[in-house]
Amino acid sequence: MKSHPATIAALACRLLLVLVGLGQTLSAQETNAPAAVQIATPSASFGRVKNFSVPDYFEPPNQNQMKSLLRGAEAAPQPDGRVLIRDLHVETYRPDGATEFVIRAPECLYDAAAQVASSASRFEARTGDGIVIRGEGFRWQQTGSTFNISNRVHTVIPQPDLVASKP
Amino acid sequence: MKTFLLFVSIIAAATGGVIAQPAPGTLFSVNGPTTATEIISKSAHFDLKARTAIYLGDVRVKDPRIELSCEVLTVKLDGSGGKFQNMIAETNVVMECLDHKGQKIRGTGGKAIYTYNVTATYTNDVMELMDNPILQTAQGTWQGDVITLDRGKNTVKATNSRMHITQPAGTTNQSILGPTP
Repeated sequence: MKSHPATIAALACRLLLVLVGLGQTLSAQETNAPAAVQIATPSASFGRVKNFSVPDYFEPPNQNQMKSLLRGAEAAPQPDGRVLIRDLHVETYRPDGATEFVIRAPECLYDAAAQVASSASRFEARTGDGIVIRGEGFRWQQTGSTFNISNRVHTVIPQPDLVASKP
Repeated sequence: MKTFLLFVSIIAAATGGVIAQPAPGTLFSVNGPTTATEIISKSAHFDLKARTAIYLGDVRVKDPRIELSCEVLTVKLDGSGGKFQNMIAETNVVMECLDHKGQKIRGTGGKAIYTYNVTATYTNDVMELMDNPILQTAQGTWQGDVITLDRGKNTVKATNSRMHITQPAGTTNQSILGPTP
């Protein structure tokens, strides 16, 4: 059965929320639909889930290609509906499968409905071609592929041919 | 050499044309073995699809061959590889680099556009200073509508240029221009 990626993403988020104990119930049809949704060997206790991953997929015709993968060591629901994730590791991919962007942070808040991850802590990000970005506080919009940094931005862009082009 | 530079500058100032500096050596030098560009700012916005980054607030760029500071910096990255295609610096732009003698060149302006592109046959490595640009060198201060530093060709050009010559203490015009006939 084919499912719309947005539906898959929504179901993935729901599944995560179910695992963290919010008590949402998936219908029989929904649980059969998202074959791509994977929660990697999670262990849940007292409203928390550990060692989880939430994939998102491209729109057709690349619906089998992973668009992003959000992983964490622990997720805990917050009163405002967001999920507090510890040891965040996000990877985004291009349609050809190449890594586009990787974000690592000790913690972040994930808004499943808006598909936004944000954090006030220090973080490190790296693009697929080696650009390293460090800073303090970020907001990643999963759908729009935008990444905003609030403070103390430090970017390192490798220039491998700079020495070769020396006059 | 000073006489030559003065002559070129006077000609350019008089014609309002373009100054080309055919220095036998290189104009710019590498400060060290670093092969990375560092950008520091207060905040930043990245568009991962468009491959653009906008840095805001006390922006500082440290490159092996040039240093730059400004308030707003827009960087367009190459489609493949980590290289940037161009950088647009705006508001209180200050750039510094070294000439072929290791002497500091300092440029200021309201805006600067840096274009970088390397092919198998040439290197396009150009910095354009505009919005009241001023270029300070050991030989003097250049002003113009647009001052262009071409690092690939090792030339400096200025449109509608004006130059103020700086003379070392104790020297006179005669010592720079040559003996009086």
